[in-house]
Amino acid sequence: MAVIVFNAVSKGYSGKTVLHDFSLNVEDGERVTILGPSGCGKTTVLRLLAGFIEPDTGTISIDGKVVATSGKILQQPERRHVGMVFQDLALWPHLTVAGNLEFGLKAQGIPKTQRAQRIGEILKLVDMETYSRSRPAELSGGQQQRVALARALVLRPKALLMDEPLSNLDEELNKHLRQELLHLHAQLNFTLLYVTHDRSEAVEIGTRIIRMRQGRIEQIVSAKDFKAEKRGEIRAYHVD
Amino acid sequence: MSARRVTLTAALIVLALVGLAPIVVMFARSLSADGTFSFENYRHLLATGRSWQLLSNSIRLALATALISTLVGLPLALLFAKTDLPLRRVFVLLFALPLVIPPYITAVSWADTLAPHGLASQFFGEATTKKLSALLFGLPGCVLVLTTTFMPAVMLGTMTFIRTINPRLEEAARLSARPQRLLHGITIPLIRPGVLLAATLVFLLALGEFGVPAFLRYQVFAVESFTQFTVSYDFGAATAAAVPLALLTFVILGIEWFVLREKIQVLRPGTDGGDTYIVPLRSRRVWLFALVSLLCALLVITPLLSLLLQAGSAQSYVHAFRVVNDSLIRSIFLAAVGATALSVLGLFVGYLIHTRALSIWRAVDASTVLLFALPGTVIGMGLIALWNRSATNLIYATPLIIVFGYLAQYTALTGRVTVAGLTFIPASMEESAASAGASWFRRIGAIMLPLLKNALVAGWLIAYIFCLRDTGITMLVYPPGYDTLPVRIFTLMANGAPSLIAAACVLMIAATVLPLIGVALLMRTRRRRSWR
Repeated sequence: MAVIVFNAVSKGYSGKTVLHDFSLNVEDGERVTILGPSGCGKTTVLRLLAGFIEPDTGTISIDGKVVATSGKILQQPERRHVGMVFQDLALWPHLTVAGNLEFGLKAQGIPKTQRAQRIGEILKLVDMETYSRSRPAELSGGQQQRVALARALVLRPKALLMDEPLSNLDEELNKHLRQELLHLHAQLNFTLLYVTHDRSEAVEIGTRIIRMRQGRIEQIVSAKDFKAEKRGEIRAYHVD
Repeated sequence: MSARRVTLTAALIVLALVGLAPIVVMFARSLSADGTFSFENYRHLLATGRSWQLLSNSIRLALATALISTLVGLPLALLFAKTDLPLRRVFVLLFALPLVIPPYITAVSWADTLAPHGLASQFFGEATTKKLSALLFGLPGCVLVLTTTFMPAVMLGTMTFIRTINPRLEEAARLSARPQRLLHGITIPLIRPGVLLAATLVFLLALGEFGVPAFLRYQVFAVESFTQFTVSYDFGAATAAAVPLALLTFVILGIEWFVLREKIQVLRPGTDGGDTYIVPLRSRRVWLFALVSLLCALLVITPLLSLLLQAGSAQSYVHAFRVVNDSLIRSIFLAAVGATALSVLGLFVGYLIHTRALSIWRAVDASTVLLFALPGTVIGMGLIALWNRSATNLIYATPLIIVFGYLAQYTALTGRVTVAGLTFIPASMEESAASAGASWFRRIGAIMLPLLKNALVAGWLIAYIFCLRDTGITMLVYPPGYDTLPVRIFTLMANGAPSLIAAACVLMIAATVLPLIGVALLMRTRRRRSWR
């Protein structure tokens, strides 16, 4: 069963439509990357799914439940059980690493002993257990990246949304963290929606690639076919 | 030496001559008796228990005002900047109104409200009103008036800080937390340094305020210093009485700088606030609206209404205008000149602080803030100490000395607005003009000034308002025949008819508010044209 369904969703700002008739099904545990240039509407897709904005038309469902429909948010972000890693990471500067992770757990009413256990587990998984008392400003770019990922995953979300999270890192660190992300996905098997403008990142992370241009889906293709298309072996399926 | 360096150094010399040198000379004068070095003034000041009483009163007044202003201003700021409360923009304007008028006018209006036949007596009866009136003349009344006046500083400051929060920080919290937890766990802790900064500013402004305690007969150091000078003509004692206030200001600013310097860096402007999360109040919308309306009616509408009722018919305004028109015109002219001079000085000082063009930029920044936080009477006293000489009569005996006072106290305002404006302009703008071969003046004139236009207009308006409402400095330094409207009203309060005083106060408010409305309408028209 598809865990995420976008059905003919459109969205505009100040009279300008940035997402046109967007439809997409994402299966449980699938890794989908949304690839496209700046301003093509890919971040809007994530913000709609997270519940920060409502669609002008169309519906969005998570786990079979409609969470937003034309002009209405039916389920608030905190009830959707999706995690998000932002492009600028958005780590809370006044809280420690553990504090950043604990905030959401507290808000969800998780008891203290379980909170500590889950924080310990996830920090170990991202190799940050020795930094639990550090503030975000004291960490390197790569470490901040890991904390942002841990913060999103500690809540055990149904889906993880990532908005160009590696775009500000140097190439070597970028590649290293891609591998770490894939490793984490293999362990935790979450549904992943990953936004990027980098083709190699899209191919490496996604099992399916959605190519977007000017607010429309231009192409939906498997990573395998995408690579083959790049080599000129097959013609990809283009969406009308 | 480059043109940039020469110009910025010249701006610093002006700031030193109008602001810093007067304070130093005043301090030196307080250490002299009969032309020789002596601690006599301080010995005399500390000999009586009265000084400690004055200090205690000053601190109590400042603390209570800062505390209540923060307790009221913070929730209001959150309601106006983070929720869908109806008419929140109108409320912001109404609550901010007392900030732009001289505080003692608010004191006058409260006195009118609680007068034997005032507005309050019609609702509460004469006996209760009499008791309330007795409370007004003393610490509670001073706190009420100064809270009404300075609370908007906390409110507006907090709203500004809320807008500097990266919206993503709140969105990250929204994925797991409800709005109330988000406000308590993320938003309020993030703006805490900004709120503390605003509360410190209110503490210092209340500490240096002299008009309200003088009118409401509450003895504080600012009043004592003024009285020593104007009544006893004892300049040494007056400066000695001003020094504790200056020292206290210096210490508080030092503590504030030490505590907040790192934390305030967390908040950087950079978002347009367009996607700031607005918390839906839902069922709480109605009663919160009623509560805020009630507070607004109590703190802002009631005293203004009393003033209008006290002024009475249109004839009172005609009479008041005849009596005070020369002061009114002079006030507007001097405020406009002062605001223009402040805009120029603030531009260079702000540019220097932002670009760190000279190594002493941090000292310059701290100096302007110190001068802004110093009581107006202290700056006035300093200006007299430095400029009251036959050789400088061209300045001291003319309204130039008033403009000097404005420059001394309010450069921090225009400087800070310039810094805020420059933060939004990439350094590459000026650098690319430089690489194209433009001289510094050309870069400033052709590139930076057009980009800074909105900030400069905002800075000019803020400076105009503060110059127009100034009482502390002007009261001490104005040359004979050159009194401004706030000074004229203050002197009228001794023996003028209540209706005349009230009408003059309304004229003062109009002179402050009308230019603001004019500029707002002008900007709205231009914005509409640009949309088309």
